[in-house]
Amino acid sequence: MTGRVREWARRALAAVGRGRSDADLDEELHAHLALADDAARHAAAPGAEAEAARSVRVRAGGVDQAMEALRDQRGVPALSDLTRDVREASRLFTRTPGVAAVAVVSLALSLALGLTVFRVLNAYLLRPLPYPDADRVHTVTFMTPGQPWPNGLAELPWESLDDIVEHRIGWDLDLYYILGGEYPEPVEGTWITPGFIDGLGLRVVHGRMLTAADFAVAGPTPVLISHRLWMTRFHGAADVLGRPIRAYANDRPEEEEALVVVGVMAPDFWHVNTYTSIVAPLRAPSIPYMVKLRPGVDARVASERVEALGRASLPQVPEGWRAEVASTQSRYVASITPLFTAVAAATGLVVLIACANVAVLLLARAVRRRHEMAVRLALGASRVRLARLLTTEAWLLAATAMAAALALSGVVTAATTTALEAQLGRRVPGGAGALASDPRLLAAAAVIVVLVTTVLALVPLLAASLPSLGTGLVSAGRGDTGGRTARRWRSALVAAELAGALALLSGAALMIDSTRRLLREDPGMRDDVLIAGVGLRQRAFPDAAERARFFARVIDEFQRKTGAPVAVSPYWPLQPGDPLTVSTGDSQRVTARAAVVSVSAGYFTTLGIPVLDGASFDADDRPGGAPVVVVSQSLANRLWPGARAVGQHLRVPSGNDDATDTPPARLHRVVGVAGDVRQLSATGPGLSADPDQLDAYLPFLQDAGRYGYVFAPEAAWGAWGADDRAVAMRRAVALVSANAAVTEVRTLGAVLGQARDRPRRLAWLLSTLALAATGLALVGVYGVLAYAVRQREREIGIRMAVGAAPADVTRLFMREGGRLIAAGLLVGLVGAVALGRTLEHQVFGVTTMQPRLLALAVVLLGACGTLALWWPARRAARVGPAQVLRSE
Amino acid sequence: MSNEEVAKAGVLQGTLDLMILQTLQAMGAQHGYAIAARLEQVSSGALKLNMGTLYPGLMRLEQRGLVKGTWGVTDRSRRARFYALTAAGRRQLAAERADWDRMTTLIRAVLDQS
Repeated sequence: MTGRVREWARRALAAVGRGRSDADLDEELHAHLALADDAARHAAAPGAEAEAARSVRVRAGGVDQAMEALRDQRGVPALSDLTRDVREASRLFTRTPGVAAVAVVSLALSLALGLTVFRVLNAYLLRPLPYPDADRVHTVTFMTPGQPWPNGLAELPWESLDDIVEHRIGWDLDLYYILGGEYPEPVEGTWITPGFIDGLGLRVVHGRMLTAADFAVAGPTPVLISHRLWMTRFHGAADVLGRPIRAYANDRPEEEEALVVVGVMAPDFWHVNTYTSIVAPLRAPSIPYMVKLRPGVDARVASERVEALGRASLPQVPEGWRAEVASTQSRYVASITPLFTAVAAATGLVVLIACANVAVLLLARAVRRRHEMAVRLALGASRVRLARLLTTEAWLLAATAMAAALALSGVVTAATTTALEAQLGRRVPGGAGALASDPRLLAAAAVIVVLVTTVLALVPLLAASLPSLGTGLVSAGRGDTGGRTARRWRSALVAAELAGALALLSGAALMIDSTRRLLREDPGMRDDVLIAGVGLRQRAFPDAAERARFFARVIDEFQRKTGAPVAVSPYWPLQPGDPLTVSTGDSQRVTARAAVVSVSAGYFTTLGIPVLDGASFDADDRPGGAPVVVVSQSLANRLWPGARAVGQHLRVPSGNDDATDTPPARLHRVVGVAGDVRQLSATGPGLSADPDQLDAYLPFLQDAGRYGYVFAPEAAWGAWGADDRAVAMRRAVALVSANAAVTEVRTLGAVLGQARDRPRRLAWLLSTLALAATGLALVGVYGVLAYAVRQREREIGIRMAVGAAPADVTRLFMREGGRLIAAGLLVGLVGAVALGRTLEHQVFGVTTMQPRLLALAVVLLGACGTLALWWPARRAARVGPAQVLRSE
Repeated sequence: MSNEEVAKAGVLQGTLDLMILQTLQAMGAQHGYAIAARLEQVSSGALKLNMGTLYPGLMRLEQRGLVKGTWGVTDRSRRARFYALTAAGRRQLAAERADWDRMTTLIRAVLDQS
């Protein structure tokens, strides 16, 4: 028994090259023959030596067969077969290096493209959000169509849901103004509930976590700071712990907060919003915007429970009020899925087209190798062995390409992460590391390798098929086209390529078209306007009158300094607001949904919005002014069609602004009609697809809040003699009051540009993919026909010998290729419509069928395809009959 | 006897090993051709081993540690690989001989009863 064990141990060693070499075995066999020869000649009668030698040689058998048997005995047959297949396959690569290089490079490039998209897809969509048990984290939303959220949500007895809710993740976003510098420096932060810590798995890397005691006591506020704030503001100092920060919070501006840093959050903490630089314990009731459900609790059940709780305990439940508890992951995914679908579909098509091209290439080579295969069969190779060889070749090709693609996509992704995050407008959940290779990516790569291998191996196997001995040997020398099957496969592949290219081309055309329209799009206002967010401290500005005085002074000072109109509004223009239901003041009560915004009187002049009828509310834009309103043209047309809006009354529900406690609705007299302005789309990139913007403008200074955006002409900031406009704005505001802080300074143009950037880049990306696909498909068309021409040279020669004119031959091939292109374009039309559908949801102004664009794409591709046909077809006509027939 | 015949007959594979080991025991270290020639001679030409049968068999014996092959030179100055029995090979031969004797005695006894 030990002998057997020894034998297999030796065999295993031999399989990895630690056995007797082929040369050694070969020498022994030849030594045998030599000895046999010697002995035979020695023993034979004189004159019969040669005959005797031949006889022993026959008896000894063939060296090749003996070698084969020895190799089987030497190693582990399956293993050594594999290494031999690989060796032979790689020999074929070196024998046709051109084909191999083209195949590997084009596969690698397209796979790298596919992998890069997959990495992004994986990081943003497939990986669970970076929370423990992320599948149990849910977002709670309340829907009250046309109404603000009802009051009292925070005070609901949420703890009664503790049987289904493990953690209530509540927060209250805030801006902290850090004092001590030239001007208060705003930092985004949030007040959090204890459930936030456990529910989202908040961790500290330095110092300690907030404890239950921190949430209970009053006094100095212990806070956590983000890793980034620690690095930027405190330069990573270890003694940051225990350090007091002098600041006041936007939401509690009465008192200067005594913030004490107790911990630094982990750098990879990710939240659905960016307000995470300072995290403090919330010591008041909060709406749980998110909940972590207990294991096995269904989101629908949770929705019903929350709704029932609201109906039972809210002081007033608005009509149509609904509560919804939905997986945070799926809500997050749903918001970015359409964009990814379009890009992933386009990328997938390009990868498929590239694969088809490689398959066509290998197919052509397989046909050329029919002779080789026939010879191998004749020499006794089994069909299984040949199939295995072809598979090994395909695998080697796919694996080499994939290895290169993995490396390439890694480099590309790492280099573009920042741009990508900016483009998508959100950080990668789980940090940039989530883009690196993970098991899912590697698994996907492995699956792709298997698929590509199968296709690349199957296509030549099925199409060229293994020749039967006779036909292969006989026909391979002649100019055959590899049989009907092979031709059909090639044609089908190329037609499919054309179809994919057409779909992409028309998709790209749609995107370019809509982007062009988007860039021409007039937002209805000028965009060379500077916007500075200004926040006031409650202590210094206790009531609306004080705040109105401050903003009035800012407007005056700015106007005096710049000589240009200046305005204030607590709203961003362009920002899609929650529309409220407004109605006419008369007995008919015609209703419409409108964004209700408050603006100072100079808003229309400053932003260049035309006042088409009446005037702005100059005189009434002050505390105690009459209730007036300016409506947009669309709103006026909707509510008072055919009548003059000025002089009518509009009923506007009052918001649940904490500063006001007005009755639910108030009548406002319409004093002016302003031009329509566009808003950024809430669902997709760019401006809203709905040009029918309904806006109602109320006088801001009548009830000024503590927060407002100051609008000034972009050229104005130079007036303060600073070389940075943010600094200029801060100084300007500081001159008016030390108790006001500037948060952010941007221009309207920049906001618009950012909104327009996304469709522009998407258009660019799709165009690039479409061009790549078109190029690949045209190469495919050309390749197939050129190959067919070369294979049929003999037939052409005969045709011409019996009197066909060159034009006839050209026509023959054009007709054949024309059918191919027509089939491809026909299938492609269907794909184009499907892709158009996807884009429709994604992009402003895209309608599914744009026959003009589709026709353009068809004509373009058809023309290029014909050109790709014409070239080889013309070459066919140049074939000299005598020359071809002679070459046989 | 062709390769396939040897391979098919499992019994014969074992007997080939036994025959090679016995030949080496009787003649001392020998190269492959000498072993084949000797077997052909003692079987009066009935046992003709080709290289495809002989050498894998020798390799198997070597892998099991029963023989040891070394390159050497014949008396006619040709290079050849000489195989010699190892201690384990000698033990194996003795054991297999005993088995074989027992088996033939047994079969003979069965065949001789009448």
